[in-house]
Amino acid sequence: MFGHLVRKAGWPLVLGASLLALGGAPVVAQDDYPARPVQILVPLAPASTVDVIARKLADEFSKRLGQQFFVENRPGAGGVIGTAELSGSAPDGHAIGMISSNHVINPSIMKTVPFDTLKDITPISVIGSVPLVLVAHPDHPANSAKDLIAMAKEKPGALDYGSAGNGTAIHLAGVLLTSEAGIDLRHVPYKGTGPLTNDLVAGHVQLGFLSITAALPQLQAGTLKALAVSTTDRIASLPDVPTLAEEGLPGYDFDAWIAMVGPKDMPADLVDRLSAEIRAVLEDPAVAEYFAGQGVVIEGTDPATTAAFFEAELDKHSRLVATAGVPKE
Amino acid sequence: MSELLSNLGLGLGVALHLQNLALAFVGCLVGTLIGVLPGVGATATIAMLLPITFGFPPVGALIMLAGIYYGAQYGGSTTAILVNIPGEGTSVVTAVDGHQMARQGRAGIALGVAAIGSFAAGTVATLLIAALGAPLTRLALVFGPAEYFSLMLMGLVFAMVLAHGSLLKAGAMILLGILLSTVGLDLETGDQRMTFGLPVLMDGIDFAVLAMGLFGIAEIMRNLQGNEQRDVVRQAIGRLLPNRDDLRQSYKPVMRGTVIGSILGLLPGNGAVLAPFASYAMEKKLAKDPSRFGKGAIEGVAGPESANNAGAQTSFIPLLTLGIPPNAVMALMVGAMTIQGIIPGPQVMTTNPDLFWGMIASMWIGNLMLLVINLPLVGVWVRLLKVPYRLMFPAIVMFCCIGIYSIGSLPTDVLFIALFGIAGYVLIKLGFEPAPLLLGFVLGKLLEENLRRALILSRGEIATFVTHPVSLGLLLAAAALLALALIPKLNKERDEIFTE
Repeated sequence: MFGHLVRKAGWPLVLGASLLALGGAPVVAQDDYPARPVQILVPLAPASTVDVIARKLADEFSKRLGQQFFVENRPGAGGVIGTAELSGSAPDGHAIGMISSNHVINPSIMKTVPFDTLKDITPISVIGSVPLVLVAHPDHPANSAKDLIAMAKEKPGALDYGSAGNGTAIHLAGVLLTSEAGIDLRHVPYKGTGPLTNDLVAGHVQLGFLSITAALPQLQAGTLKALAVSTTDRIASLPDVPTLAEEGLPGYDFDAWIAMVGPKDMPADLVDRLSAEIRAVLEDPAVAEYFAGQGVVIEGTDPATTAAFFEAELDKHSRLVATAGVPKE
Repeated sequence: MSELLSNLGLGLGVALHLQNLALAFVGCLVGTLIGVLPGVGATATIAMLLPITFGFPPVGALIMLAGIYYGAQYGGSTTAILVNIPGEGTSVVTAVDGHQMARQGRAGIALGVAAIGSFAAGTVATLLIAALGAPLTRLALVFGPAEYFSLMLMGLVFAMVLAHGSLLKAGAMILLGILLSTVGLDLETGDQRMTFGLPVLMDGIDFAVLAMGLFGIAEIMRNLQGNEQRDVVRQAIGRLLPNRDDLRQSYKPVMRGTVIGSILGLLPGNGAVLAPFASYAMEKKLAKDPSRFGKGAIEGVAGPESANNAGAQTSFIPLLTLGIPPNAVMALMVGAMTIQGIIPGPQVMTTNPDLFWGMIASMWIGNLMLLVINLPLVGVWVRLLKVPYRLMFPAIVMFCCIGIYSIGSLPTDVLFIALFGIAGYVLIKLGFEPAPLLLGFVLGKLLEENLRRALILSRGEIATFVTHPVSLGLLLAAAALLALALIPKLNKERDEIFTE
C-alpha cells in the first residue's frame, strides 16, 4: 500500500507543495493547484461502478497533477449524504465529487434534499454514460422488444419487470418503456442489482433492465437473453442487439451516467482546467478500454455542456418519476 | 472424482503460491484483528480495505479479501464471547451462551470450541463446494420470493425457541425487532417510514448500531450498577483450551451445524444469517436438558459457530457459479472482481479455472491459518479479561465509538448506540431478552420484502405461498416447529398457574 503512495506522489513535489501551502496564500491561484492531496468524494459504496471509475480517474489525476488524488466513500440516502458533504466543502478544488444519475432523480423522489441539485454544485464534466440492456429469461416467449410490446398490449398488466429499487435508473428505464410504448407492466422492486439478477436468471421475474456489465456474462452463458438496448446507438459489446428506437419506439433514449462536480462557486479557471484534464485522460486508449470494460461509454463534456445536461436530465427524470407515480417523500 | 482431484490440485497449486499464502495470511490476520474491534463487521472491513487490493493480481486480491471475510467472522465471535457484543447478525447466537461461558471462567474453552468447530465446518464446506458447487447452484434458483418468505417465517419460529424465558416476552421482542427493521425507505413505494425526516435514517438502522447498543452498552451499564458481580469474568480462569470431554460434547453439534450452515449459505438473499439460529434451535431441541441453554451450554457455541462458518463458505457458491452475490460481502467481492477485469458470471469456472479453484483451495488454507492464528490468541484474549473493569469499560466504550464511527463516518451512529444502550438496559431490567429482538430485526426486512414481492408477482393472490411446493413445505415445517415449542411451554405454564 505504501509503495503505491510513494510511487504516485513524488515526494519532493509533495514537500514543496505543502511548504507553499504553509506559506499561507489564502487565494488558490491556478498554478499552485493542487496544493495538497485532493479528496474525491464518492457518495456511493466502494466497488460500485461510480466508485471504480472514480478510483481510475484518481490514479490518472495523481500521475498528471503531481498530487495524490484519493477517493472517499460516503454512501447513504441515495447519494444525498455524500453530495451534501461535498456541497459544503471549500470550492478551492481540493474536494471534488463524482455523482451519478441519482443526483437528478433524488429531488423528484425525496421530500427534502438538503442542497439545490443545480445551484449548490459546480458541473465539471460528464465522464461517461452507462447504457442499459433489456433482458428476459431465455424461456420467455418474447424474442424481441417488438414481440414484448405486442404481448403487453394483448394482456395489459400481465407482464412484470424487476428493478434495483424505486426511483433507480433501472426502474426509470422501465417507466420510460411503458410510457413510450403505451403498455402496462407491473414493477417489482429489488434491493440492488444482485438480487434482481438472481430472480431474472431463475425466472421468478420476467423482464428487467441491467447494465451491460451485469448482463454480459449472463447473456454469454445463455442464462438470460437480450431484447434491446436503451440508447439510440447500438453498443459495441452487443452489436447484434437492436436499440429500442429501432424496435418501434423512436423516442426511447435512456442511460445512466457518471459526472465529476465540485462545490458551488468554484473559480471558472479551475473548473475549466479539471474538465480539460478529464478529456485528456479519456483520450488515453488504455483508460478508454478500462472504462469500456466497466460498461461505461466515455463522454468528457465541457463545463457549459455539463450544466445544460444536468438541467435537461433533472427535467426528464422528474417527468419519468411523475409518470411512475412514485410518491414524493 | 479424478477430475475433482485434478481441479483441487490446480487450486492448491495456486493457493500455495508463496505470494498467495502471504496474502491469505495477511487477510486472515487483519480480518481477525478488525473483527475483534466491536462494531466493525466483515462488510465494513472489506469495504474499507477493498481499495488496497486494487494493485494486486486478481487471484491474490480475492484470496486476501476472502481471508478478511472469514477472519472478521472469527474475530466477531471473540468479541461476542468476551464482552457480549455481536458484531454481525451471525454472532448474536454465539453471544448468548458463549458469554455465559466466559462469565463462568470458561472463555478459553468457548473460544477454542468456536475456532475448532469453525475449522471443521470450513473443511467440510470447502469439499462440498469443490464437489457439488455447480449442481447445488440450482437450489439457489428454486428459492423465489414466496419460498423465501416462508423460510423467514420459519426463522421467526426459531426465535421463539431461542428464548429461554417467557414466550410472550420473546414474541413481543421479535415484533419490536421487526418494527425496527421497517425504519427507512419503503422499498416498494419509496415512502419514508419512521425516519422523523432524518436523512441518516433513510437507509434504516444499521445492525451493528442496534446490536452494539442493546448488547454491549446495555451490558456495561448493568455491570456498572454495582450490586451485581461484574460481568467480564472475575472468576479464576480455568483451562485455556477445550479438553476431550468438551470436544465429545461438541462434535455432534459441529456436524449438524455444518450441514445446516452449508445448505442455508447457498440461498440467495443472505440465507446464511439464519444458519446459527437454526443450529441453536436444533441443539436446544435435541439436548437432554434444554434448560442449560442460555446459561453457558457448550453446544450452544459449537453448533452455531460451525453453522456460521459453513454458511460463510457456501455463500461463495452463487457468486462463483452464477456471478450473483447472495449478500453484501459477496456484492463487494463482485466489485473487487470487476475492478480486476474479471466479470463474475457463469463462465468464471471455465474461463478462469485458476481463479475459481485457487479461491476454493485458499478457503481451506485460510481456515487452517485462522486456527493457527486463533488458538494461540485465545490465551491473549483471556488474559485481557483480567484487566480491572474500571479500565476495561472505558476502553470498550471507546472502541465501540471508534468502530461504529468508522463504518459510515456518521456522528449520529455514535449517538444511536447510546440510545439503544439505554433502551437495552431498560429491557434487561424488565426481563426482556435482546436476542429475539435482533433476530426479528434481521429477518424482518427479508420477511417484508419477500412477502410484498411475492404478492406483486402473484397479483395479490395469497395462495401463492401454498401453491409453491417448497414454500408449502417450509410453512408446514414452521407450523410443526411452533407446535413443538408451544405445547410443552404452555403445559408448563399452566402447571405453574395451577400450583400457585
